[in-house]
Amino acid sequence: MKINDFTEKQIREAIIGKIKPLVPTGCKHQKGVVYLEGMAVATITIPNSHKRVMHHNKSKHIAAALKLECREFNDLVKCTLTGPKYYKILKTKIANE
Amino acid sequence: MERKKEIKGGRLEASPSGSHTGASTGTGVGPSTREKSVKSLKNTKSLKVKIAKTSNSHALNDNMEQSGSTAKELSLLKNEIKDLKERLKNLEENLSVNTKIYDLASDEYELNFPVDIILKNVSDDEVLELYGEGNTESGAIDELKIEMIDIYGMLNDIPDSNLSKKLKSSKRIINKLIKKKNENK
Repeated sequence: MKINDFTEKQIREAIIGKIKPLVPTGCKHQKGVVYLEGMAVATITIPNSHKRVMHHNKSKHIAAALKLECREFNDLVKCTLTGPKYYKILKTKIANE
Repeated sequence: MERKKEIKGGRLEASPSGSHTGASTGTGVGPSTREKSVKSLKNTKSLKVKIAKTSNSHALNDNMEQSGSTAKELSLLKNEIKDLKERLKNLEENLSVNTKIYDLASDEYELNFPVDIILKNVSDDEVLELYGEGNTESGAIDELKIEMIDIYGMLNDIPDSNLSKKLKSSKRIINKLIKKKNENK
């Protein structure tokens, strides 16, 4: 399955609104650190709020950084995957790493 | 009685459809010369029409055959183009460019040694920890440099005890690659 066409803004809103990563200051690109039970488990690039469609390779990179399959990433941006559900998936994946 | 039969027979012979009922023949033996020539004319006409129709339908068939073969050729060409496109896509996807970066274009950070990088299209199952993209190779490299510095700063701001195994490993790698310029001063 492929990642759908999403605008940078859609992806940004899904990441900030649902995953709520810690955003460190001092980065040239906006970055986020995803914490799970007090442990930093992923670093991600937070896209800009542009309305242009995100390049597929970049979407794939963000999905991989979030440890999500393409389908799960689509669900995250399309609203069906909630924040708590994401963290549940993340917990399983971290345990299997 | 015999004559009637003859007339009937004559009429039957001249008109296979048997629809003529009037006794217009003078002799009673068969159709007159005028009748014959009229019929012959009619036959010629219908023959001509038939020929015309036949030649039209031949032309139509020819056209249909031609358009059929053109459609076949087009479909073959389409398939060939599709195949070539797929092959080109595969070639492009597997194409990689090896290059080096010697600096990070930063006043604050520098590389400990030149870093070999491979620019390539990534498939679904390949994951790049660091990502830079741009319309040109130099643009993508510049983005990658920024990404490296960002990751360096971000991971070094978090104590090891709060990092997952994977992020600890990333930190180790990035710290091998990069150092702060003022660290040696």
